Amino acid sequence: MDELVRLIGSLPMPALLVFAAVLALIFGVRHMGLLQGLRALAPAEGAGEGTGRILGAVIDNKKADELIAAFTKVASELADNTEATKETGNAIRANTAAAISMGGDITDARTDIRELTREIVRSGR
Amino acid sequence: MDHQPYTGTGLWVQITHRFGPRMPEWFMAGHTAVFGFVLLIAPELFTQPTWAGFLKLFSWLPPDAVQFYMGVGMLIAGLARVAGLIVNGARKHVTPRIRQVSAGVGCMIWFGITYAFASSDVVSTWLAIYPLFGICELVNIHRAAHDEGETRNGRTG
Repeated sequence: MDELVRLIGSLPMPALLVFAAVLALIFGVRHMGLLQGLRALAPAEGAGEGTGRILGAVIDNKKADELIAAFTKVASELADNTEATKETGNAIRANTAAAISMGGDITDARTDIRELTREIVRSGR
Repeated sequence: MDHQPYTGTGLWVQITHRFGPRMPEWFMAGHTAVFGFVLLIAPELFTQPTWAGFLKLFSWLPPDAVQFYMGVGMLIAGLARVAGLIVNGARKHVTPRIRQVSAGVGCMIWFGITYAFASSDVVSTWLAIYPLFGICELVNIHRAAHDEGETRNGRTG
C-alpha cells in the first residue's frame, strides 16, 4: 500500500489529471451508450405488450397508436362489407333457384298448351 | 433459451457475420498486439527523442524495463482482446461487457500513449494517429454499451 502511494506520488500531476479525465470520459460515454440502447427500442406507450414491442422499434408511439386505430376501423368496415356480400350472395342464389323452378313450370305449361292445341284440332275434325 | 456456443463452421460463420459491426474493435486489438510486438523486437526504440516521454512517465522503472514491460503488456492486452472477440463471435448471445472492458482498456492505452508522446515535446506523426485511436475506442465503448442496453430490453440475441 505504501509502495502504491509512493508510486502515485511520484507521478506527475498532469498524468494523474489526464488519467482521471480519460476514466471519467470512458464511464460517461459508456453510461450514455447504455441509456441510448435502453431507450432505442422501448415499448410504445398505449400499445399492447406484444404489438408495442414491435411497433416501437420502427415508428414513434403516437404514429403507432394512430395506425392501430385506423387499421382497426378498416378491419371493422371490411368485416361489415364481408357480411353484406355474403347476404347478397345468398339472395342471388335463392333467386336463381326460383328462376330455375319457374323455367320448369313454363316448360310444363308449354307442353300442356301443345296438348290442348292438338285436342282442339282433333275435335274440330 | 439456448446458450450453447457455436462450434466448427458455425463458429467461423458467426464470427465473420459479426466482423462487420465489430471491425474497429478487431483492428484496435490488432494495433495493440502489433504495437507490443514492435516494442519487443526493437529494443533501442525508447532511446529516441520522440519516446522520451515514456521514460519520464515510468521514471521509477529502469529505462530498459519500461519498453520491455510495455511491449509484453500491450501484446497480452491485444491477444486477450482478440480472444474476447472470438468468444463474442462464438456465443449465440453477444457479450457486450467483455467488449466494453476491452475497449475501455484500449482507450486508456491509446490516450496514455498520446500523453507520453505529448510529454516528449516532439511533434510528429503520432499526433495524427493515437488521439484518433483513443476516440475510436470511445466509439467502441459507446457501441458496446448501446448493445448492452438493447440486450437488457431483450431485443438482440
